[in-house]
Amino acid sequence: MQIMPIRTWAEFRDTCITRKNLDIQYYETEKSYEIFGAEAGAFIWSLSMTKTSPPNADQVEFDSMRENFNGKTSQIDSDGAQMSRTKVAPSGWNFNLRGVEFTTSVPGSVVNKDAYNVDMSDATLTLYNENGDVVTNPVTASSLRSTSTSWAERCA
Amino acid sequence: MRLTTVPSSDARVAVIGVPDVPAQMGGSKQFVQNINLKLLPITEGINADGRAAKWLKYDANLHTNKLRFIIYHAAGAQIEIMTMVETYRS
Repeated sequence: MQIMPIRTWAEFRDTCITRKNLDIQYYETEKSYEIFGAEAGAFIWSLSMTKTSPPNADQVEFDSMRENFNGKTSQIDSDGAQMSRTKVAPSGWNFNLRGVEFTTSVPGSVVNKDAYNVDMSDATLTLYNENGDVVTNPVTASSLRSTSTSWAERCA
Repeated sequence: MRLTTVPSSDARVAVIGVPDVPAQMGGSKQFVQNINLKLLPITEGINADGRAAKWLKYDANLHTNKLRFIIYHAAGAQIEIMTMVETYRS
C-alpha cells in the first residue's frame, strides 16, 4: 500500500472523483479535513485540507459533496478477488472493558462504577457459610466460607 | 481477575455463566472452575480468554448475560479482587 499525497482539493477531486470515481473517506479535525481515496487496494491518495474562516471555495465545494463520502469501501482488490474483512461486532457497537471489585468476607465491598465514577447497581455481592446458606448481617467472620458477586450487563 | 496479594490459604474460583438458568435448560455454564488463587503468581491472576458465540441479550427475568464469580475461601478470609470482562455494547 502506497500513500500518494495530493496538495490541492482541485487536484484531488479531478484525480480521485472525476477520473477514477473512487470511494472517498474522510475525517474532520478542528483545523482540517483529512481526505482519502483508496484505489483498488494499491494506492491511497490523500489530501489534508486546512480549514479557513470563512470557508474558501474548496471547502464550500467539499462540503457540498461530503454527504456522499465515507461510504462502504470496495471489498474487491486489484486482482478482482474478494477481500476478507472480518468484524468482531456489528457496526455501531463499541468495546467496553468493565471492572467490578470486591473483597471476600466483607459485606458491601462491591465497587462498581461507570466511566463517570457513578455507582452502578447491576452487581451484587453475596456471602455464604460452609453449608452454602446465604449469610446476612450481622455476620461473623468465622461463618463466612464463600463469596460470590454477580452482574448482568444491562444494555439494549 | 486481579489481586493485590496472593492469599495465604486456599481460595478457589469458579465463574458461572447464566447461573439463574438450570444446566438442563442451557444455562449454568462453568467458564472457570477450581482455580486456586493461592497457587497463582500475583502478576498473573486469572485470564479466561473466552468468547460468547452470539449476542448475550439482557433479560430481566432469565438474566441471560449474567456472570457469577464464586470464591471458596477460608473462614473470614479477606481477599481484595477485581474482575474484568471485555464486552461489546450496542
